[in-house]
Amino acid sequence: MTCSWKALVCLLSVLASSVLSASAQVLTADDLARAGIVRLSDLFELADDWVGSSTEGYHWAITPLGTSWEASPDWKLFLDGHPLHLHALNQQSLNALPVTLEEICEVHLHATPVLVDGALVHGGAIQIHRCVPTKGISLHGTVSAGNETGDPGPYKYTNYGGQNVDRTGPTLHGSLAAATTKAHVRVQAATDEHHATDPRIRSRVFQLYRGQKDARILYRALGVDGRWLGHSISAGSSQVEDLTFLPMMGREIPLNRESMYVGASFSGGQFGYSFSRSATRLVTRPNPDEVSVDFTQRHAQVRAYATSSLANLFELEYGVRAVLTDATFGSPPMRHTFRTLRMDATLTPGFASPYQLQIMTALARDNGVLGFELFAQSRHVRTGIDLQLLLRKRSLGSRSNFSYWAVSGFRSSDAEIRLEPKGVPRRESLYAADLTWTTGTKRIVSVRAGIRTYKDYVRPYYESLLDSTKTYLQAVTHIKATRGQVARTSLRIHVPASSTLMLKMHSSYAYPWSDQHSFRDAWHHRLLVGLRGEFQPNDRFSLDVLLRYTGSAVWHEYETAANENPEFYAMRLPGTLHLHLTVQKRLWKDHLRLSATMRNVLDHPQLVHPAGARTRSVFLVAIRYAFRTRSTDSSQF
Amino acid sequence: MLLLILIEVPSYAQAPFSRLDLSVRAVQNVNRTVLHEYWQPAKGIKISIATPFYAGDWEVHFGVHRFNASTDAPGFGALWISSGWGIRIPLGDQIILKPSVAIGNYRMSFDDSGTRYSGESSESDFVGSMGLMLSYTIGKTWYVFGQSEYLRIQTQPLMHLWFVSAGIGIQVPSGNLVQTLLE
Repeated sequence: MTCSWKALVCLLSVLASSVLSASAQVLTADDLARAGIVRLSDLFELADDWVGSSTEGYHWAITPLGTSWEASPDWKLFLDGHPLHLHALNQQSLNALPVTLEEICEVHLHATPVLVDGALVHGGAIQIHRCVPTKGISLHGTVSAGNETGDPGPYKYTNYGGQNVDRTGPTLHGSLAAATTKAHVRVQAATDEHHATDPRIRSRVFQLYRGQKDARILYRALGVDGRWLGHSISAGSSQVEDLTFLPMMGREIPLNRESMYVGASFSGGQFGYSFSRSATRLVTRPNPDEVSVDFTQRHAQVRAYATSSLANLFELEYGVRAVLTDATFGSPPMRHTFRTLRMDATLTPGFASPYQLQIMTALARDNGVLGFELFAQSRHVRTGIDLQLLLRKRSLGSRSNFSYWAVSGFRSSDAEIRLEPKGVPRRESLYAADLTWTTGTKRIVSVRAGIRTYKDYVRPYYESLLDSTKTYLQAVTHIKATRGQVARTSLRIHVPASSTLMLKMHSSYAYPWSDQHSFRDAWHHRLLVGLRGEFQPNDRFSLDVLLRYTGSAVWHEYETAANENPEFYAMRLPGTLHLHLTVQKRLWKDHLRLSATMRNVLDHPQLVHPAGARTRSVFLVAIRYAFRTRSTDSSQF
Repeated sequence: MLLLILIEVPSYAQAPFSRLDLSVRAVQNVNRTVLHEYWQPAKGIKISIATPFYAGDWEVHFGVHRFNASTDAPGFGALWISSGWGIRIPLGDQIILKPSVAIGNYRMSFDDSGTRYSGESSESDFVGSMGLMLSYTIGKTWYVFGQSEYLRIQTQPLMHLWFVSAGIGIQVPSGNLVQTLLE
């Protein structure tokens, strides 16, 4: 960190960052390489407190345990501090982002509320921080490909063989950068392929094109970023074809998903600004059933802020943010707009103390509806006790999710959406408290307990009804205001077993309760237990072992479908134990890293969604490369 | 078990990447399963490169063998590429026992002329293997060896293949370039 002005501000920044990072799980670039991460969604396997589901194994809906991804995906994604609102109709896929893996220096995973650039993220956050290129010209990238087990192999020519399960990848990421000590420019490109060929979804996917086209997901992305004179700017664009499972439709829809973002920021002295714009466009591809789900969502925001010291006792940051969100949907296309003006102030003590405090208040006007937010976080360094309190009362539109657009009139062919007869409350309320105790530096023990109370919280509730004449489901979506509570607890232990072996254990449990089944039923998972062993005899070679148990999941929306066709659909999915192994070796000094990963070594046929694919073991090989011109800087690879 | 041997006999550690073991062998599938109701195994060849690792040896293998059609199913050639780890256990001055494990890819290319069905003419699947090699050193650098090896190919149903092989190998210093690449 460069602190060229007041030492006081520098100290406060360090204190503030330590307060914020106390609740985050941090994954470094080395962690990702040693665990054989080749797609962004693979991060989810390393996340201590996050659960997810997928129907085809490529687009993963993820969320912190204790929140709901289908009903209310409230977590936010940040790239170098810029928010990326790339979700559309409650669908957000990390693999659809225009971000390449090799640029990533750190990923911060927040399962509890967090402040980012003055914004209160109440449903958890994933912060991706990209490396600043080292001086000179550098080229980084990854080439990987894999194979899922369960192919019939030669048996496809016999009576023993089943249907083919195709490869995963190839996945190609690359970036080229030119940098001086004060400026840089970098371009990135990525491509990926995934074949949705699992026997369970094959017939449903086959129907999309009546067998005239392969069900192959293709991803392409381009990006550029740079910095100069303290200003930083980044932009990216991606396109994913071909299919996406939409719960409201009960099946895959052939879609092209186009995403883009632009971000710019400056921080210097006592003021700064940030600007970001992101957009997602869903375009339905021609299909025999003439199903159409065309939808475009754009999000733009600008924030200016300033800091000042109050008698050297407190540091105050105050800012104003203007947000414009709009969506285009319907036939003929209609444009719906949502505007927010939000003012915030964050107070932190301006003196060194074992007691750290941060208080944020914000007042917002959301399309004419007043709302407010209050967030307080205090931490006692000596005892390691951290307390977070949150109060949020904002309108539904501030979350710009599927429920809001459904209330605004979004409809799609074949999808039946019913609104609650009483209408939508003007404001939703969320109260949350999280208490964390952390002790130790090398041997780390962290215990967390928290509770969230939701009131007038609008969310979709799905009912999947079997259509026996076809291979897909008929779904009814209810948009309802709900109320209830969720309690959550987690335990994290890091123990160095020897100088070369680190053991990391974690467990999380969440329990929702409410007098409304539409609230209770939104939480599919309740228990998560994991163990990671990192064996590193030296910095050239590593063996990573990841054991992860996800408790049984209950999907009440599939109750009817499960009753009518119990052989195919299930309301309750059993708990699964997964073992992942990765061997990684550096080669040719620091230019190459070769890794081989076996996911689901125990080869449990795994079903993570009642309407999803049953996946088996996956074997992946990845080569990471890094080349750069001679420089006095140390290697970043 | 290999790890236990390694822990108990630390003296087997060698300078990493200091030499290369290059070997070539003839391989023959010897067991019979449901697979062999449709295909008859033919002889194959396998080339291996091994080098001392931080512990034990790091190995890379390239193997080809063929299964001839014996019924309506098309014959296929298999290309087997894998990487593994083994440990050398001296049983005297000239005899070495070497257990090893490996993982990799097993690619099958089916004969077009025999393919009655539409679909891909090749299939790639994950393969894991375990082997036990016995070698006899001749002079300073050459050695002859025999090996028994089990392959488990993750098809559905599984392919279980036992191979026996015999061949010849040579040990050469790695040289600076190869050491730089591998270190």
